[in-house]
Amino acid sequence: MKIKHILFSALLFSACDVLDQQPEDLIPTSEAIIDKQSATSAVNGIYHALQDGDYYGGRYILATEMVAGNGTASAFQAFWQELASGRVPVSNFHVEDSWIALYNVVNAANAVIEAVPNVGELDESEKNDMLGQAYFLRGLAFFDALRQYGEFYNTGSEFGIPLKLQPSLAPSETARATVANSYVQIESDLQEAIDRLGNGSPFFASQTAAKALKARVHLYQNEFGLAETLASEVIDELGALPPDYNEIYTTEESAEAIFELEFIQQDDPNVWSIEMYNNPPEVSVTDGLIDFLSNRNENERGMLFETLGNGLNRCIKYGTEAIEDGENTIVIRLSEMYLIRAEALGRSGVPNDALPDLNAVRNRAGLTSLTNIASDAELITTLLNERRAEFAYEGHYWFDMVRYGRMETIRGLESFRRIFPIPRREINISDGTLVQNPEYN
Amino acid sequence: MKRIAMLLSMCLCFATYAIAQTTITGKVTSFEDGEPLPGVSVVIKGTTTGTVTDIDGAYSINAPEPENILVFSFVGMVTEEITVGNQSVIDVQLVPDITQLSEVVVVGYGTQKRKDITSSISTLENDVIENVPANYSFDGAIQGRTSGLNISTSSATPGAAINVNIRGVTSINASSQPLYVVDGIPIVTGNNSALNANIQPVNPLADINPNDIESISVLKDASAAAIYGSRGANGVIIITTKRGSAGKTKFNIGYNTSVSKIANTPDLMNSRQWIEFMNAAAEFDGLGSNYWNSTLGDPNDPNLPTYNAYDYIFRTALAHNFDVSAQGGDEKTKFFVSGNYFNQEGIQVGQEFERISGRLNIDHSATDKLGLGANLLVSRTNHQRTINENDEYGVVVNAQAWDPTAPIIEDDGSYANPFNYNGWWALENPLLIAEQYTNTSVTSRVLASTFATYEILDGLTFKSTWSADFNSLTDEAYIPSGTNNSNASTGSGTYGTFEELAWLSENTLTYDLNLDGGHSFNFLAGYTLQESRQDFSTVEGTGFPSNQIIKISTAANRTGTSGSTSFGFASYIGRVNYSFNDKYLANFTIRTDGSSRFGDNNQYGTFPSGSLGWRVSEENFFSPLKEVVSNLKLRASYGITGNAAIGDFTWRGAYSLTSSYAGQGGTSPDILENPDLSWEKTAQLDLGIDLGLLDDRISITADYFEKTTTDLLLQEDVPGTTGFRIIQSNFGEIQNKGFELGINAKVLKLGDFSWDASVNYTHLENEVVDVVNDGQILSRNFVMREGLAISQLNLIKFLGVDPFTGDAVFEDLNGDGIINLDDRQAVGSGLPTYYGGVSNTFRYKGLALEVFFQFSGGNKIFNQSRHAYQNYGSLQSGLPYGNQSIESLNYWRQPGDITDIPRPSLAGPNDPDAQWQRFSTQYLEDGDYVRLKNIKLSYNLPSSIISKAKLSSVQVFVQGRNLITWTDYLGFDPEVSTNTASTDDLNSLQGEDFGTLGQARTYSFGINIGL
Repeated sequence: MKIKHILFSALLFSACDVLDQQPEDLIPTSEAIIDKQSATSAVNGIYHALQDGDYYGGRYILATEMVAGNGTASAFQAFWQELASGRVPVSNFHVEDSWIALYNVVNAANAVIEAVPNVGELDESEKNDMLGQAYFLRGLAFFDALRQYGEFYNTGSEFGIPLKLQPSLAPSETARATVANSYVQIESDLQEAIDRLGNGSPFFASQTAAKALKARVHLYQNEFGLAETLASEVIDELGALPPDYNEIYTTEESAEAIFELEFIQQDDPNVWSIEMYNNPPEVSVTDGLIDFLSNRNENERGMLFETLGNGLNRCIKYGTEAIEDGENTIVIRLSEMYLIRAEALGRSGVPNDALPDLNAVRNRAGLTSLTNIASDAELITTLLNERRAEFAYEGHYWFDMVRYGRMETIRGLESFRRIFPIPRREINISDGTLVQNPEYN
Repeated sequence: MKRIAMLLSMCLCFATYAIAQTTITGKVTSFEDGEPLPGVSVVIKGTTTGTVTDIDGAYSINAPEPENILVFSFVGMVTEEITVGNQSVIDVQLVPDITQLSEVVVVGYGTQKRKDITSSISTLENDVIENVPANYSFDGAIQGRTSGLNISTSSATPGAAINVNIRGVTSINASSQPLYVVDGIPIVTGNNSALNANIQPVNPLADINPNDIESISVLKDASAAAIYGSRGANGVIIITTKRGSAGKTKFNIGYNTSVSKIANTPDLMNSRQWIEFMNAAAEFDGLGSNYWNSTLGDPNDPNLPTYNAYDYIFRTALAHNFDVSAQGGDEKTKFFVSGNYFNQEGIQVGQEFERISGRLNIDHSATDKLGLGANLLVSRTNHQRTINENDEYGVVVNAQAWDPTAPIIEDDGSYANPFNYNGWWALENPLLIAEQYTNTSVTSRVLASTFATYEILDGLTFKSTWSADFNSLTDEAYIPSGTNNSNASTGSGTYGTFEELAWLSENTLTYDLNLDGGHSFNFLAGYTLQESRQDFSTVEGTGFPSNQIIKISTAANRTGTSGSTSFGFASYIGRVNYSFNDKYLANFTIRTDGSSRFGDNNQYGTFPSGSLGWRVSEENFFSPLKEVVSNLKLRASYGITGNAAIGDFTWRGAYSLTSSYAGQGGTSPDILENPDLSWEKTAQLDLGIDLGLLDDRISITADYFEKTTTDLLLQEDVPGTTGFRIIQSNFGEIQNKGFELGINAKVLKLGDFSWDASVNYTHLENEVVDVVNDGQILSRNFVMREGLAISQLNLIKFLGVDPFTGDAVFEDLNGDGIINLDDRQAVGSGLPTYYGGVSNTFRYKGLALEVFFQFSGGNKIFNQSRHAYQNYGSLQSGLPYGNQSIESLNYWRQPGDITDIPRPSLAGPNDPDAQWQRFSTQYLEDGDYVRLKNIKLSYNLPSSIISKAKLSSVQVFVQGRNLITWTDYLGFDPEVSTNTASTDDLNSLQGEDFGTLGQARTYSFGINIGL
């Protein structure tokens, strides 16, 4: 009986042990940002969130190219077919996944913004650097959410985006802010970044990148003076356009890159090859874009588009092979600053004010200079086409045609389709806190 | 299945000596085969005087008084009592104990007599498991054999996981598969292979040799399963392996071999039909006649070849099973030892399963009070699988869509590349996928336990069991370079390891107490601990210099990960069985479980149950009816069981440590905390009746059950603005209710001829009562909706073909003028609502014939394969989408035609006028079927012949499996429609068939020799 006694005691004692299991590849949220190393890791983690396949890992950009008519669905996925049709159902997978991917960046940034000021091990400059990156990335995610889901083209609209500013520790819903307030928050985040950041590798957020993005944000609101000022500052910092248009696609950290998301094999792979270089590819380039480029004699920029033996066209800005180390995603680059300044000058002054910067971009691409832009309408057309050619498959054309008011004529879609619906999933579980975009049901 | 009923037959040699003898001698033999029975206990009733029979079944005992009663007892045999009288020689034949009432049933943590059971437990004997042809695991063999148990083999891939549900799907995100307990040890049954993306998961139950199994108990209601507490909600399957008995060492050698082929293939068009069909599509589109002749060939060309890819990917597959076992021992030590080699080729090229296993079970009585024992299983399996279900690179779907004018093998012997031909499908040569894509998993398994029992006082026994379940798995996969699967343009290899060690300690006290006045109690109390740790790693490589060497070390680019996870359970159990005068029965159990998987606030859960039974037929007032109703028992049980089958670390808020960026380590938010995470609870009511008629010639068991599962372990959708998609939580309710019926009948017995029959039937209704996100889209084709069954298909409704235009017409549910996925609606569940089996066994002398039918239905199947091979002429990228089913020939030709097949058209998916088919009810079909599942004809050679060869038994048999299937389903087989990729999918995504490999029809021959 004594032996049994001992045995039972041993068993009871070990009960506590078997129930105390600790994960080895997770860290409790409360211990995630407590010292310099963990804070640095949490900042890196925001970039990792940005690399999500439904965000700058590829599909955020490809989705815009699909709805814009630059892309066609050439394989299986119904969600690509839906996007290519321009009539995007509220249950579209991309619409659903992208929403979460965007706010995952916001949440990761919020955690850093809240925790880093309290990490004693960090000095002020380290804190500023980390906070600046977090503010930049949050501002970027808010802006991208606004462009995709909110009436970003109308600053008087109530259909902005939810501005979630605290780290999420329990389920909760955030209501939509107005478009104007959404822009206020985005600008504030970017200004925080400008104030705190220095400059370094384009793989990371920098003061220049924050200025460049803020220039874009002002342009979208037709705040041409502010856009022009910031674009000029960036151009002054970085200088003339590198002579070779293609360099940025073949060289990492090229002189033109302002913010370039770095993909290496150890990171989760991006989806460029999965969507575009598989056989058959889910996303192919439309004949319309190929014709557009060849009609303009776009030899330089057109080199990045090719027609395959099976008759499908593809864009090779992100690679050619199915398995790559992972081509980088260029989020912001220098030529956009020229085109922002061109647009700001042309639309605030006379159309021909746009010419110097427009021609700088055209000449770099091997095209002759334009000499006269006759009207405001022609300016818009010129800007739209220049930007389409310069940034094809970089995620601009759709937003440009929407903010220029040209979407309906170019794509033949109803006006309410200028923005994506809020995902049905989100509406379903929000108990009325989230309001759907007009005319979607 | 019960063994054949036999009438008790005693062969008593009546001696006529008047003088009282003191020494009685005799021989005990088996009624079944006349073999001597060694080890039979012979005791004078009411005394401790006794002996056992020797190797020849002979005994000798002193019985001084004529009124002495000799009791002959032996495991598995009906105990005989014979009054000595004036006999000196008493020879006895013992008959197998096959009457249900005295049958000993293995229950959780013990055994009980069938007559005392108040819960719902089905038992299966080894004769339905043994030697089932080409059946790599026992779970496939018991399909259709008992009520309440729904088993579906999702693919003919040998060694693949099988879906098992007892009384329905009870969960959404946690597993609904039962707990498996082997010789008292809950075993690991998860698929540990990392290659499960669109490859059939491996089945860890295939590590166990089915021929080692003595019996299986299926615990169905809460009263039976609650002793397993937090893991009992999906029912429990208890497997008892064979053990030795005292006496002469018996050897058994068995061999069987089988031949299998695909049972059915959906017919596809030949080249002529296909080209004519495509031409018709072009003509409808206004492109003129014979549009495709220049590209695809002239349909009237007599030399036009047709290449049927089925002929290349399917084969006649062989299987071999070789068993050898020995069992024996003496009164103190008994053993069972066995070895098994099993090899089964798949009916599809590229698939094979192999097992080598050994078992040793030992029991030893150290003293009268102390017993010791050990069980050891060692096995190694090799699974060779291919990409198939739910993958565009699946072998089967690429064969079905294959351009029939394209060869599979080029003249130079190379694999034809479909991109050199005229179908948009296939994406890859199916034979190339089958032969050259490598997907191999090798497992090594050791399941070892030791136990000791000690009788502390009379009736009070302590038992301690310590066991370990060790499972090591190695995956190796390779996609060759130069294939179309551009994930692997330079070759892509994966090498993975998975090691799991689960240890368990169980310590129980049992106490039997019989009080005056007919009160009898059995108490059980115990304490168990379990801990499991899993370590895994994967390395992947691309850029291989050679397709011959697939080791990752040769790859140009390599990435790797490793990880681990663990869980622990600490539990207390208690049970009281009470019986009063053998008429009134009661059973109460309780288990308290603690689990590391749950939040600090809810780490422990308590699971009680109770059941009552009334043996009405034992009442005095019932005796006039006993002629007809030999047994009547009413049962009722209610209890709560739990489910903890979720991931190990899902409750605590955590950052993932794998969020690196630009070569630097990173962390990011990964899990939203839920400190209240707790058990999923299933409350089950069971009302049952056991009925025996005509001296138990007919026995009937019927049960009604209602299972309500609440606090579902759910990946609850949370607002995306949190940055998270889900939180692991407890919310929602699912209900399963239904009834079960089992009938066993000894239909006829005439001389040496007998006919036994058994029938089982289950009706089941599943309903999602309450979920967070009513209408949640679970994948493209599934939805979860309150008021409907889970695994609810969600499709656009096909309204038919417009007789005037020939256009397919779909319901525009939201009325926006566009047919797209927003127009999907719930159209039926993939879960069967009824299933069962019918077995008839005929015996004449040594000859036995068993004919077994199995059926299932009430479910819907979305036959998504037809989307690939029945797309009505549509083009994709300017190419015909794929070959067509011959069903498409019934297409609309002219106004007024009434048909379900629309006018063919070449318009592709992006064309608004396309006849391009949607994810619609066009491909929705009924899953009902009846199958002639098994016929077995066996012959036991008469002992007069075999005794000359010094053999104790020789049985030869032939069997056929999956011989005939009656169904309206248009795919390979209605049973293939289950996606087994994950436990979640098994709950909520059943009923989709995309390139699933259909069932095999198998013929086998075997022989068993006893020495």
